[in-house]
Amino acid sequence: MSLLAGLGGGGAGTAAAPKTQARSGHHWWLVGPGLVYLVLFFVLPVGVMLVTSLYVRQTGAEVGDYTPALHWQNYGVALESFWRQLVRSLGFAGVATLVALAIGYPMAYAIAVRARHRKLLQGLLLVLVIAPFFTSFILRTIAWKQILADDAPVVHLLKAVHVLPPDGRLTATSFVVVCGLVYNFLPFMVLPIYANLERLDPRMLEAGADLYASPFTTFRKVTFPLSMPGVVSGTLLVFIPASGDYVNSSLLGNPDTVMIGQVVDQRFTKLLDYPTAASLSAILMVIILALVITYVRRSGTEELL
Amino acid sequence: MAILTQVNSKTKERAQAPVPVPEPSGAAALELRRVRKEFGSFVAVEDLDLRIEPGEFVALLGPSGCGKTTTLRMVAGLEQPTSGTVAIGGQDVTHVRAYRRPVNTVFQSYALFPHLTVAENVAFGLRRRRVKPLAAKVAEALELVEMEHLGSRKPTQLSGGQAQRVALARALVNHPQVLLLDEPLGALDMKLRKQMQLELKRIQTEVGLTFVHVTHDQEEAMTMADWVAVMNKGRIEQIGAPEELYSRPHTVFVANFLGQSNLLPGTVTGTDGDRIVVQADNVSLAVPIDRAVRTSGSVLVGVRPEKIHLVPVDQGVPAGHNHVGLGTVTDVSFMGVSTQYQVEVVGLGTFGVFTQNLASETTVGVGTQVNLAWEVEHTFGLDGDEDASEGALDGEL
Ligand SMILES: Nc1ncnc2c1ncn2[C@@H]1O[C@H](COP(=O)(O)OP(=O)(O)O)[C@@H](O)[C@H]1O
Ligand SMILES: [Mg+2]
Repeated sequence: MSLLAGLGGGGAGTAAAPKTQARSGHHWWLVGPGLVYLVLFFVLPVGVMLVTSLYVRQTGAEVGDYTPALHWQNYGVALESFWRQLVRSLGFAGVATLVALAIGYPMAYAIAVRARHRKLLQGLLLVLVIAPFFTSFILRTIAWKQILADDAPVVHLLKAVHVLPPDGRLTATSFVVVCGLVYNFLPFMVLPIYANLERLDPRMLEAGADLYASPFTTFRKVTFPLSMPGVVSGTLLVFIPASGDYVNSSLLGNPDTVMIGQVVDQRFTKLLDYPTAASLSAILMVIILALVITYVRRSGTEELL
Repeated sequence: MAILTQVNSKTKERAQAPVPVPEPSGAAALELRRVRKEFGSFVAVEDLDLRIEPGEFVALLGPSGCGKTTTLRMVAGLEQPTSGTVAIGGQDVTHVRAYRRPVNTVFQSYALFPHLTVAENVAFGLRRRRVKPLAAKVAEALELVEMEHLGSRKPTQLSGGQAQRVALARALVNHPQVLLLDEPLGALDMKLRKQMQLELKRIQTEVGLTFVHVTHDQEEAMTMADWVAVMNKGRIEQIGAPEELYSRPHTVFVANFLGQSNLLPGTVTGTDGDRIVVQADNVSLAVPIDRAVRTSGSVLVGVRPEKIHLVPVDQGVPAGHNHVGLGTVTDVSFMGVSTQYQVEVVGLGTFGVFTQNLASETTVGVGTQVNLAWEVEHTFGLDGDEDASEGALDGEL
């Protein structure tokens, strides 16, 4: 929560920020533990992954037995075989992020602004947002699989009211995979936006009204732009994990909804094809990094980088 | 310019009348009729009447918490009156939402939009109403407040005084029928405040807009405004030109809040021509009838500290003066241009006296006996049932 709040507040443009930066100059040792952690659990593994992605299997070698090499062709092969899953993953993640924003922003707004003077209600709503985290991610997704199963009441009801055709189903469709992504990552959208809107100065809205802006225009021209740092962190916190997700499409999808995370999982754990798994991971990482940088630049919230 | 001179002459005319009676001719820039605002059981503004003519600079003066901000917010439409009506330019806007009212506010906290540049802040209202030519109007407004060189800055990069100017430009540029200023100079230091007071007055004269300026600083209200409405506990105690309010207060609160006053409780014993005669302890004082709010029963006889003369015991008190007899100087504070004395008169209490430090005046030391006297024409009479300390600041007089 504090991390989210920090992310949400990064771009709020408080005048105090530069001062604290200037003063923390000689406290470099504070960065130490974090640096060690990053090197051990991020830099090294990524290095190993990049090296592995260039390994090559000698003719006649056993399955899973690779020799160190600089076989960059692995990337071409991986892209050629799995570009569909890659594009699909980014597509699903993008749609899920937009839907989560569409659902999450009003939620965050209601909790932060509408319930501003009712602290008890506000706390209760926040707990409700976080409550799903109290049960396992996998368990909840399996529960959805059962709720949406072909012979479960939900499908029967939807067929009865002709929302679904007689032979229609919910599980094993792209629609449900995206729904699963939205459901699982929604709190990551709501919390940073909430943290941001919570500090929205009501006097800004009054200034908008005083300057001839209707409530809707005030939202468009004042509230929303001011909440951009929260929106950017929320969308990143949803998009990045969603594009690498493999649980939702494994449990809720079908062979036509396979996402890149599933491919990596399968290549790595089932087929022991480490170089392909590693090069796909590297490709995904580069794509996400490029997208994120472009996005953050364009939304004018560089403070987050 | 023609409008301005016309307005000024009207102001002068009205200033001479003892009580400003609003002329019903033409639409007032702003008219509040019996406006009341309750928060739960607390009455923040109580049946307030106020009429402001176009082009006037009116100050709403009162101590913190007296309902000034609430009054402005009801004019701006940010607060709905519990009862009463608000009219702007003759149009009843009581139920019109804030964004449709032809008024703009300079907020106490400035409330500049932090995500927009100075120029975009100023352009905000113009854009909403699609006023053209945008850039020229923004430049003109920024020039008026001498901020044209900082148009591309963000509000966080401005000093308090600069932010104040931008807030002013952002409101002014829309040429509202009434410009509301809520303690706009409150956050500035003394020197800057004095400078901005003059500047605000210059800008108001230049653009000819109607200004309603809220402040708790009586000096600020008196130096800037054509009219001052003194507010206390949600009500307007008195409206008038600054000189008028100062020389002829109608209530104890006004007498004490605008400058300082010496108030002596007494009883009216009769009349003497155009004066009433008041017995206070064992002295008899005269008050011009047209300067007294009541002419019988118990009254408070008032006089401003600088109107009192300290007359040495060996000199006679001139004719036409109220004379309270001999007092003892208990305190002398030298203030540069003036000296403040505390003089105790047995039976009447302690008087505050200010004298100019002119070459001819001799200072009087502590313990000296002096006669206290002042011209009858400088005396005013208030309702004796009021608490004589209402509105007085602790530690003064
Ligand atoms: N929204 C509100 N709810 C309850 N009381 C309020 C509210 N706004 C103002 N008040 C009260 O009304 C009184 C007048 O406030 P205000 O108009 O802000 O005074 P001023 O601007 O003269 O200092 C104060 O006592 C204040 O506490
Ligand atoms: Mg106020």
